[in-house]
Amino acid sequence: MDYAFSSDGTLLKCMLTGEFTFNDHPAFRGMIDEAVKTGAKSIQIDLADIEYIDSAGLGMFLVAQERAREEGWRFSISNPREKVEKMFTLAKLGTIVTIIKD
Amino acid sequence: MAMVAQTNTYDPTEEEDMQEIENNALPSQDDQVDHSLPVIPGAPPIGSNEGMHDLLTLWVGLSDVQKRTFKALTKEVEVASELIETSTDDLSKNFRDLATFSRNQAEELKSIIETAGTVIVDDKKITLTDVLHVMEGSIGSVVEQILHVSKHGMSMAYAMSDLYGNVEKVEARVTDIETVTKQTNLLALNAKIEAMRAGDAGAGFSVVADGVRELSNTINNLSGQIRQEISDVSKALAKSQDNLKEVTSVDMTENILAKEKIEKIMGCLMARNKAFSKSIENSADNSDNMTQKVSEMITGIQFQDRTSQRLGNILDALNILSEAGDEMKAKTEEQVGEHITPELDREWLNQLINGFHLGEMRERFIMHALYDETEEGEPVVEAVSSMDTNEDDIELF
Repeated sequence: MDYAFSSDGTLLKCMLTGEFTFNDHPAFRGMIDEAVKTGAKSIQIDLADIEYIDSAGLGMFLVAQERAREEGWRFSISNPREKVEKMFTLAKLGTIVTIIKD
Repeated sequence: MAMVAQTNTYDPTEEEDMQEIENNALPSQDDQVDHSLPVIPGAPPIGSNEGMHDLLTLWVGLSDVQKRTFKALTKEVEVASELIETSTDDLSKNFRDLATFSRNQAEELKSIIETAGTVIVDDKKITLTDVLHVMEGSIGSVVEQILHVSKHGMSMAYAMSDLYGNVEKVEARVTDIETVTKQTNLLALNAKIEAMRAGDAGAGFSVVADGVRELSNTINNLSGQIRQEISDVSKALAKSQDNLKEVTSVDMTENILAKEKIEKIMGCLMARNKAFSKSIENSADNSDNMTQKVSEMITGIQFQDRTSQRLGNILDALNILSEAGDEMKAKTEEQVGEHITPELDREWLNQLINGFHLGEMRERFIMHALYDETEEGEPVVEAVSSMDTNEDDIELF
């Protein structure tokens, strides 16, 4: 997984590319740390370029959501592809994490 | 037909005459049967007493033939009435049976419709839609469990990462200790050299230098042990991380495919079930219609009742005509002052009987018209009243 930031002042978008699996946890955690340090109050993980996510990826989203709640910033996910979206639906991720479609 | 005043009375014991009657070929439709009245050949002068007597004898004879014919016709009407009654009863019974079968079939079909969309699981009725939801729910539960495990697994992975960082820091500190120990050891060595150079004056210092060197070696050994143990912890952490990866990295594609497949299969099942139900529903409707039609037919069969009444009227009329004949004969005999024994006009009756196409009817007619046989016990009135009773048996729908 690779990532890039884009910010409009209030919302920090983290655009992920490639596959998002267990091995990416140090990078993802580091990315969240880095995003939080910018002081952004809303962090959005954009999945438009993510081909595949395993259950570890979902676990990382849940951990990030929990951290956001604890630290008082907003966490959301955007633009999952069809296959990824099916997984979110199956796991009912939408009931826990805000999922946006731009 | 020419007929003379009969001198021969009809003798029913004459077998050949009977044969002649029964063997007579059935006349074709075109055959014209001559039913004209007997003629008196060589009649006496008009207005003579003898002529009047012959004429009255002929009248009484005709009356006798009519009486016999009425009797035979009465029997025929009774037979026809019984035939209609029996046939109608049989027909009604068959139609009622048909209606019952049709009604049962409709009930069975409705029962199939009710059960088609459900399955019995643990004595509990579940619809196919519920089955789909249960299966989807089961997959959903599994996925939720996976999600739960993944979340905690990832929290643990983060914690282990932190721990691994700490272990690396400890390793760095051990390296620091080893560096210090090396320097201490070197310093002790230098002190030893300087003590030896100082000679006896440095003897005491030499002992201290040895002590420091020994201490340094001990610390070095301890550092080595710590490094080894930290290395073991580090390896264990790496192994745990691998195990955690196995636990948390579940490819959920198969779950998604399984869910989609179940939905598709259930969708097909439900569609097929719906089609079946529709067909069965149509069949049930047809059965209902059939039951309705059969009921209408049963009601229609009640013509038997009306027919019986009409036949009863005919029987009454025949009876009255017959009695009137008897009365006229008695009055004539009284007037003439003697008993008139008419002779049966056998040939004329033959002609009449041969006009009947049904062999069975002919036999009956011969029995009642030519012989004086009667079948007591089945009076017309009784037959009619029994038909009236049977009317109550007709079930109306």
